[in-house]
Amino acid sequence: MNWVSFTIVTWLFLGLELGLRDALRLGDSSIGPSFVIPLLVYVTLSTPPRTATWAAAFLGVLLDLSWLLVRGSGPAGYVIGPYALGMIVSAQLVHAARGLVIRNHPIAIAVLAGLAAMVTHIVVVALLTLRGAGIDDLDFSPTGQLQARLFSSIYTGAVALVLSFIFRQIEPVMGFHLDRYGRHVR
Amino acid sequence: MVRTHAQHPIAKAILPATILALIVLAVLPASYLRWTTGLSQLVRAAVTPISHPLIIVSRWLSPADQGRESDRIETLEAEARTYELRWRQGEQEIKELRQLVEELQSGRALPQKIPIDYVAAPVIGTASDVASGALIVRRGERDGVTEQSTVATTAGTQLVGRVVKVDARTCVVLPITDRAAGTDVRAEIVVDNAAAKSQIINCILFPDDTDGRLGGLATVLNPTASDPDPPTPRPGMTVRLSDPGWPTSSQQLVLGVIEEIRPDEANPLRPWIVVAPTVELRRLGQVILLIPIDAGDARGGGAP
Repeated sequence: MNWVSFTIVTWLFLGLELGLRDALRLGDSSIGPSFVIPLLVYVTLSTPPRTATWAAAFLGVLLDLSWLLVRGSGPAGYVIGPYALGMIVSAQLVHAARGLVIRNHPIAIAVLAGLAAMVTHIVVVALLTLRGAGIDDLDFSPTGQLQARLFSSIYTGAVALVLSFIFRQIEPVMGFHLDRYGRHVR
Repeated sequence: MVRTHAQHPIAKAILPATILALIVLAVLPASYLRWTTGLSQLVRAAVTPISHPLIIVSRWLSPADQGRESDRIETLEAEARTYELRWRQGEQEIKELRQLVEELQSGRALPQKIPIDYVAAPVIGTASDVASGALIVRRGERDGVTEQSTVATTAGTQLVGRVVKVDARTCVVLPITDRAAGTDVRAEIVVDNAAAKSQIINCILFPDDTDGRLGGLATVLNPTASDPDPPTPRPGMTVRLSDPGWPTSSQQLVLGVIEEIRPDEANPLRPWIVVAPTVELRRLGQVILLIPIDAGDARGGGAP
């Protein structure tokens, strides 16, 4: 994979995540799509596991640094880890499933993006629950959070369906080494 | 056989070491993670050229007060709200002056009122986490913004939230409807009855981050048994902030209007009210920051 192209595409998708998500929220709810998770799925489907894991860690750290964790007492801060670990686990899931799907097929990307978003959110909620239980003073309701995040994951899958057509257009600049069957070539 | 870069033992160990580091960082107390603020500023500065234009376009297509008021009614109501706010704040000032007279008579003096600077600030981004409603605003320490003592409002009188994080050029505003904003907000509803005597209904409201509303139990302050028509909250009534834990500049600002009233099984005499902000706080394109000129003295008395 061409890391320069990946960084530029990440920059664009993180901008979409931070700029467009609130406009796409469903009414007054906190249900909104992610743009970065479909990008992770797309990259994972086309790169070897090691590259995909690094890409997941990179994307996850960027998401962690774009989200201020506010505590009940004391100053708010940025916690590196929840999204990074969540996305690494998601990358492993997508990698395990990639032999079962047609790479770059819109439905495959949509379904895997929805599943990857669910896994990411489960890891994030688990880590935040752990922090709230004894590390930091967090006002955190895991049940409510999981419910909203589950619907957000489905929404992410729907958005990934649209994004999959953009992924096809940017494929030449991403520098994936694939054979005509979509398998990775060293 | 030639050993490739990826096969080198050190290169192989970097990835597991990174994952281990991430696990440690994920469970490290926030007090050890202050250094991450600098990294976050870098990410924010890099992403703003993309996120800000998108926010401008999305707020233009879907404004915060879409479908709630027509232009003319909106202007008139905004004016009415401004005058009402001035009246309420005047009343509160009279109350404070009376208290000052009493304090001076008893030989003590209250601190002077802090002047406020009103600064318009564009929203340039939001949080990456889906559950967070935090707004990233382009005003920072260079403009005098301070954590906790600076509050954000709309162009009218609607309170948006409080600044929870500030760096040189930007700050993070946490809306009042965000669950992380705090455990509760103290508010009051002033009921003007026929005898021109105002009665106050007190309420403690809790953010409900799933639908952008506030909810809580309402209590009539000092009810009189002889009152034939005791004040009761009704849908459409305006709810205002009256919380000593918030900065002085934010007192009497509008939290929202009562949208729904439900009986509470545990408290049959106290109704549960649901308060909706007058605009959608997560879709604001610009906020007004109320910056105390001497921030150190303007901070509210309570916990954030």
